[in-house]
Amino acid sequence: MTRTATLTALLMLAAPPALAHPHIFIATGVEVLFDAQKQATGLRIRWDYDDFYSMIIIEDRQLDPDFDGALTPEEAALLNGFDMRWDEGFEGDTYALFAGQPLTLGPPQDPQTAYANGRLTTYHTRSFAAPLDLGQAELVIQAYDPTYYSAYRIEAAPDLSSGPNGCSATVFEPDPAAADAVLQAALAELEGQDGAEMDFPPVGAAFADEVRLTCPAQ
Amino acid sequence: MPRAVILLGAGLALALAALWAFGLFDSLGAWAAEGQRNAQNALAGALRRLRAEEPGALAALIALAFGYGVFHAAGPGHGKILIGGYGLAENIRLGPLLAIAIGSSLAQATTAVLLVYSGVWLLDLTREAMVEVTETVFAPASYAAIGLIGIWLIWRGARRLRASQSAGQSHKDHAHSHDHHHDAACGCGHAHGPTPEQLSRVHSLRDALLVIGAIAIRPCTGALFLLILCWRLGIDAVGIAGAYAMGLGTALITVAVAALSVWARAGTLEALSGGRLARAAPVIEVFAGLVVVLLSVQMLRAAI
Repeated sequence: MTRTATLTALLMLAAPPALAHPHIFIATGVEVLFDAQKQATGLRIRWDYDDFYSMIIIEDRQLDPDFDGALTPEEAALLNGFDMRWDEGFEGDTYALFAGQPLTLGPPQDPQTAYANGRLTTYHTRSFAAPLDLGQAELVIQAYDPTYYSAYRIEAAPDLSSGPNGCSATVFEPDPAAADAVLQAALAELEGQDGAEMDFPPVGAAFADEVRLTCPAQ
Repeated sequence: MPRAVILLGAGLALALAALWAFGLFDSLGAWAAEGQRNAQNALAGALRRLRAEEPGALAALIALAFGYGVFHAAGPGHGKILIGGYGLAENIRLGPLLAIAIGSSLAQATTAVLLVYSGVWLLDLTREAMVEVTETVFAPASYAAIGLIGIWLIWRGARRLRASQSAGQSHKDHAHSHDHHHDAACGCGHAHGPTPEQLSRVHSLRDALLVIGAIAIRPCTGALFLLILCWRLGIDAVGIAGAYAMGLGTALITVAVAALSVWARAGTLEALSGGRLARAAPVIEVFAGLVVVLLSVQMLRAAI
């Protein structure tokens, strides 16, 4: 009984993103960058902001006064990097795992901003600490905001054009049932541990869109 | 209402609890977020058409703002938790609870209007600063207030539980004590004091204001966005109308939650009627208070 109560409390305190609403909707795209040896060196991330948030950003800066949904190159240059001033502790909402291990991604580089048809698009690059041989293991890229203030959706398979031949990528949408199974399994494991450390398992990522990438071994 | 229909309320409460426990609301949340995404994109389009003075753009914008509110509220949120918890806990009739639900949504829109216009006129705040203060001050304050109301529900329930237990005992021991109490209570005549009915009306008004206040402390970020955008575009009245339309859209869902909670309470009490009835009501109150506290703690943790 006590254990059930503890688990219930844990379940409630564990905050999968269910208790928040998103206010910014971002369609994201990813290009995997490769070096001359066809090893993956980093990710070029594209964020397409929704029309409403794009309009807010533009109007905040009182750009596009004729409201035609287009900016002059000078205006676009003013906007460049507007979403790259990251607070400390903000991890950039892009997460990558190689062979199941989380990768450390470098700070955002080479920001670029475009505005067309009333929609803002920004690009930035996150480098891996060391080049990866994708023939060795699977690379998983996830896009999510742990606070769920922004909702990310990976809209298309990543651009692998500069990589080795034969690589393939699949986009997985979050499956609430599967994500819930992860949560339940994690809870069951906790229950089995009986008094072992009660750190809550990192299940938030199970609720995210992700890309899984593999290349043939070289 | 026929007894069977009332009893359905208990089944409904169980079904909703099961849905929640098994995470099916996550799918609902995903669906609501998708609806909100579409409404949000369409809002931008309507603002563009409004700027271009196309006919019908204003009506479209108000309708979209309402739809945004509905989708926004269809996901889980602090207002529904408190309204639902309060409706389950308290012996409140549907009418007043619906008034609280609508009142809290409109009060929330009012908070958004007040924040944005004091922000732009008096304090010269940027949009980022307003959103920041909403997220870091008003949201946690609201969740804390909701948690306190939850604690208060638990406390009231526990007190009634004790009272009903000791009343049950004293009834056995001193069969006539009831009459004595009755005399004392009626001793203060009609002219120089509030009647018990008036007192309970005052209490429920105070309750209602507390519930509305706790919810309304936190303005909806979507309403802030729309208000600031319309202020920038020089169409303040449209923004204010849109914010209230969002509030009414949100109210549509909280009203449904209010109705469900009253029904579920009636059904549960009916299902447990008989000897256990007197105990069931305060137990439900404690339980509902507990859920409100747990969920508000969860929101608070996520917010800070």
